[in-house]
Amino acid sequence: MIRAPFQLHRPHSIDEAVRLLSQCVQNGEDVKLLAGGQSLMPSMNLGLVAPAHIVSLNHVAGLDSIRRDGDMLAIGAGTTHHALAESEVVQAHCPILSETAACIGDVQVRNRGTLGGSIGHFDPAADYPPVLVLLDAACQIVSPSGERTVAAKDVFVDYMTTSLSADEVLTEIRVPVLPSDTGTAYVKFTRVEGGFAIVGAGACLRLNPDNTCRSIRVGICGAAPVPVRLTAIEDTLTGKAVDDAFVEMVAAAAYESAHDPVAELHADADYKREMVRVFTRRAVKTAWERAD
Amino acid sequence: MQTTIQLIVNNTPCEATVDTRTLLVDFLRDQLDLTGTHLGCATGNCGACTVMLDGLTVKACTILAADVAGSTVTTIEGWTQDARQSGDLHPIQAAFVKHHALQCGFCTPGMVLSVQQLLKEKPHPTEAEIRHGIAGNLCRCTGYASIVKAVQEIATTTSLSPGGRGLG
Ligand SMILES: Cc1cc2nc3c(=O)[nH]c(=O)nc-3n(C[C@H](O)[C@H](O)[C@H](O)COP(=O)(O)OP(=O)(O)OC[C@H]3O[C@@H](n4cnc5c(N)ncnc54)[C@H](O)[C@@H]3O)c2cc1C
Ligand code: FES
Ligand code: FES
Repeated sequence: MIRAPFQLHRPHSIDEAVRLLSQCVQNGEDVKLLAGGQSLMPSMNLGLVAPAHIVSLNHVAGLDSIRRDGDMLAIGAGTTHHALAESEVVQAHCPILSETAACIGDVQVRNRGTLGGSIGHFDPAADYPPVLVLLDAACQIVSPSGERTVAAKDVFVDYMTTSLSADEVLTEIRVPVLPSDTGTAYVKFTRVEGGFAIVGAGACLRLNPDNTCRSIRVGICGAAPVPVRLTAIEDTLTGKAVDDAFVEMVAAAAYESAHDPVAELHADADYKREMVRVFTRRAVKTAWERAD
Repeated sequence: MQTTIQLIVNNTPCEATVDTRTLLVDFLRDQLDLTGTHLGCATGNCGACTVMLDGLTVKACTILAADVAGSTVTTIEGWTQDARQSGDLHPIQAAFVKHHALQCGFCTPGMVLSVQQLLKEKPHPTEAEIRHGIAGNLCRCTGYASIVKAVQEIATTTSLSPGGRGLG
């Protein structure tokens, strides 16, 4: 039993959820959305957070849909990690996202935890944020005053802080349909299977027929409080021959970018920085192997 | 805040009044006396509280009972109902006994449900797949080797074909 009392609301629509949220905010009362509960419930059980109101999204129909919309995939915020990992559409058109979902936590966590909850919670070690940033994903957000679309890189603003306000609901995440010749990979460094990433690195690579780089994108978690994207080197490397030296250049740029790793019990800042190099190298190598 | 919920637990429809702060694990243990579901960490880490919710394993300490009204929950008690009636051990139970896949038994109900889910999805898992499948269930006694052996044996000996006893 959770110690602190709270009121539980179970709306059946997003509009109703937003209305409840904004009522609480207007009354100056602390309110939290509840999705899979894989981050929120442990925090509440430990007494780390004690909102006066909880608005559950688990009774809103349709929040877990995955559909193709032209050259984008539109993924409902309530889609579980399990559903993303298993989705044939996602595996076919944005395989890095299903690979990422499949390595989150363990079976039970993946059965319950959601994409929207992971974004809303924004643990600096969470696996989706660096991948969403490298994909230039767009987040659809409903607020009392209407809807807005925010680029993933503008959602993750600081350590465990997103640009969503307390009366807003993330409803959909849009990621590009990747050309089928794209090689993609997400790899993570954990202490044990099922653990959070000490460092995670994602890469998407396309080759030209002459084996030069047509495009590369890299996103990293663990290098800083927010996901790091290697934008500068991505541009510089376009057109360059893809070989071992190429991979080393990306790994070195990743190391340079890891200017502010958050030290933790199992990894101090210097070690994390070194691991950023190692895991970026692995991500790019694997993406290269998978690129046609 | 109190609320009334209806759900199906181990094939039996039930209606109960719960405090909204009640976790699914506490509801099962304290209100329904289904104490086979254990409470270890209450932080989603140990897996001792694993139950099936609408056919998928979840950690019942991370779920509010009031939030799963209308759902179907299966606990270890429901899962062994058939075995108790027939007097036989379920193949997973029998293999756990044979290979000493439990010592104190605290992790066992959750472990067994995770093994069942794994074998439903992958009837012939490799060792790596077995370890991946039980990653959400901590065991402080066995060191996992005996659990892996038990699952390997079930995967090679149990008929999953229609008409066979299966693992359902
Ligand atoms: C044992 C364990 C291991 C884990 N390992 C990993 C791991 O390896 N990698 C990883 O990335 N994560 C990991 N997680 C976290 C997991 O991915 C969570 O599922 C996720 O962080 C939160 O999603 P949720 O649906 O459970 O959200 P909840 O816990 O319900 O909510 C989390 C936060 O997001 C907000 N929120 C939820 N939905 C929305 C929405 N639609 N719009 C706006 N805000 C919203 C909530 O208000 C809350 O503040 C782990 C968790 C556990 C318990
Ligand atoms: S008691 Fe639920 S995971 Fe430990
Ligand atoms: S048998 Fe004791 S914890 Fe697993």
